[in-house]
Amino acid sequence: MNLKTTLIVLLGLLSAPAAFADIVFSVSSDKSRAQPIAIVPFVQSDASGVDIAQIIDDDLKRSGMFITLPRANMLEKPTDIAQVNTHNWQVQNMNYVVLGKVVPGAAPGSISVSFTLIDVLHDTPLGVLNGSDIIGRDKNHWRSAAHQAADMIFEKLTGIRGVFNTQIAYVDTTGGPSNRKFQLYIADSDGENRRTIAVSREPLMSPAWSPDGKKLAFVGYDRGYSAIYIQTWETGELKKFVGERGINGAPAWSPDGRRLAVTLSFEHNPDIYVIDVASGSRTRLTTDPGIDTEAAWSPDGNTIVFTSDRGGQPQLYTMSSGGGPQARLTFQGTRNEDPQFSPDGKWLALVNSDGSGYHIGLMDWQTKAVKIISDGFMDEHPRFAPNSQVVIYTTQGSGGEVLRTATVDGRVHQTLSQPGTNVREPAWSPWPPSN
Amino acid sequence: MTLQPRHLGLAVALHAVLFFFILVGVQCSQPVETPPVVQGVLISPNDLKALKPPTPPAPTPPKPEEQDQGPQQIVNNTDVVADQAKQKQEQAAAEQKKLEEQKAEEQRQKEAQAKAEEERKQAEELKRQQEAQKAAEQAAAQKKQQEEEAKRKAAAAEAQRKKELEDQLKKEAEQQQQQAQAAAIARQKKAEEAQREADRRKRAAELQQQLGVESAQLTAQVQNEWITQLSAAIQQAWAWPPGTDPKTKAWLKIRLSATGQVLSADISTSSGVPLFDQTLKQAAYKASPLPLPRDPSAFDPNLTICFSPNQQSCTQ
Repeated sequence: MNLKTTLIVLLGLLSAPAAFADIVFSVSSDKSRAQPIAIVPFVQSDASGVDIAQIIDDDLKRSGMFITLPRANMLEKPTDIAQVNTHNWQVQNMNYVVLGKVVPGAAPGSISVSFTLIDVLHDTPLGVLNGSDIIGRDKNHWRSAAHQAADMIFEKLTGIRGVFNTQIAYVDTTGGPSNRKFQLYIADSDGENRRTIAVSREPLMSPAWSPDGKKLAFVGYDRGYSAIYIQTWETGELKKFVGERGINGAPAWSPDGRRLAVTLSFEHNPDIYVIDVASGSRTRLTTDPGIDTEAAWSPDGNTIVFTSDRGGQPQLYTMSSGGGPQARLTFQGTRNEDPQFSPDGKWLALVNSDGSGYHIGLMDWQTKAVKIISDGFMDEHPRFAPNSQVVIYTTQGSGGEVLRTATVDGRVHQTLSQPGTNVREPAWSPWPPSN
Repeated sequence: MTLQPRHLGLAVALHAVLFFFILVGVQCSQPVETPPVVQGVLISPNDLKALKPPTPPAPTPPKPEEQDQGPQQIVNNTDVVADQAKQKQEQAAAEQKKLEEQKAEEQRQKEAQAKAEEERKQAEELKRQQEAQKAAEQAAAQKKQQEEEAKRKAAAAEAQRKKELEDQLKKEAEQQQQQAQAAAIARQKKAEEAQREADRRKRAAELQQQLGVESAQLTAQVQNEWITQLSAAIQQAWAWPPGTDPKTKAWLKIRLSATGQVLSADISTSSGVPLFDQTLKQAAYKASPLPLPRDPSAFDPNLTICFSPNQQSCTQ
């Protein structure tokens, strides 16, 4: 990443000195740098402890694509575009400045956020994003309003839809062997606003968001027996979806949200089944004597990739989502497991082992080439953000397992702050339905 | 047809005799009546023929008149002199006879002469006629010959004319051909000339171009070096946003001052990603002032630069 390789391609030389035709050439580099941006503190009447500008600042910084100017270093803190002296920002190599204000919303307890994104290199407002679009309807959603603003800025500048206003489900494990406690949480993408979904003395595993984001399937144990549960947010209903004898695990929603692929072993051997959510009717897709588990749906719903040790070591196999012939997919390293497709279908995330550790790999679904994007040695359970640009996974931190993100190019890695003590099995929510 | 002296002499003599008879003819008219001598003397058909008034000497009119008068007077005078002396008469008769004989002889000679003359004349005439005929024949023959000759000549002339015509046509054709050839040659020459001129111009242009090329090559070489410096300076100042798709690319137009200061930097073709585009402009200003070429002639204030994380993206 720090290796500087300059590759210059001379596209053409048009040498007519009198005419001053353009000199044309190209510059390429593998050097990337987080882009400078300054988020000036917003004008906020309510000082209830929610610093909207800071949330935006943190979001952009955490994305790895921006470097933000600390408030203490700002030469001015304008509240209106008319007050902006671009020179004050240019001397600090800032490209963009964000000004904004937070006012009480129409509904009691709600806020309305508005802001202006300024290109200080050209003294041009890039966008005035009106607060009517960003409303935190109550204190729990004030941060969400800030995330929405961050998403807008991010998308405006990068062309990529932001994932700040999304949530992550994960399992936190606390306690020792005698008092171990498993908790299933969901939190905002920045780890804040954490809510407990389930608490158990027995393992909680494999949370999976339904494609519409309204349900969460996960695996729990009830007195030693595993079961797959579905939590529905709107109703608060928690329902045991399937609880057969033996293993009930690895739920994966079909892209249309009407089916779940799961692993069941009640027929004496872990195999992949597809269960209709509404009717509960099952279809067994694999019958191999090896362990077949961790099903992942392709975005078009036609293909299921799963992990099987039928070859001796866990490897990924592919088959039609309707069942049928199964073909081995991975050959790189000693083990490949726990697949998930990116929402855009370009990548298949997986855990790859070369014998000296576990790493997050991405298989280019077209070429089937695998590249490693994580930098740890015990990285597991990769799950894509809804924009297909970031993968969240668990890695071994100093005090236990932590959540970490990597951009698909493997260049930016961020560890999520304070999500728990020993977090596992993250699952990134889809984008919230636009309201 | 001139009178010969002999003939004149004879004519004088005859007149003298006749005059004598006029003087004496009265007495001896009787005897004169008996012209047996005259009758019986040597008259041949030829003589009769010869006696006829001579036609050929028609151009001598006086002579026939004298001859006609003479005999008439003689006859008239005989009646007057009928009874003269017998002796004398006889003698005169003898003399007469002798004279007559002489005269006859003379006449005969004369006639013979005339005859001879006539014959000669006839012969001459014949000869002349023959000659004329011959001449005519000859003339005819000659004419024929001439005609034939003329004909032949005409034919020859015709042939000649034809030949000449043909020759002329041929000549004209040849001439035309020659003209055509000449024209073709002229054209070819002209074309060749044009070609040579074009070649010359081309060579000149090439030479000039070559000079220009050499100059341009030199400039290009300097510019290449300069571009390398520019690229290095801009690349040093440039870093794209993390997470950028390697295929992303954008074009930046930079305008330089003479000192290398970046006067303006504008995106000419956007990547569609403002953050990426911004890094280009940022790099341009950050790298300002940009290096200058070692030869000022290679300087160009307008730079157009393609930026991409992947070098291949710009060439695609």
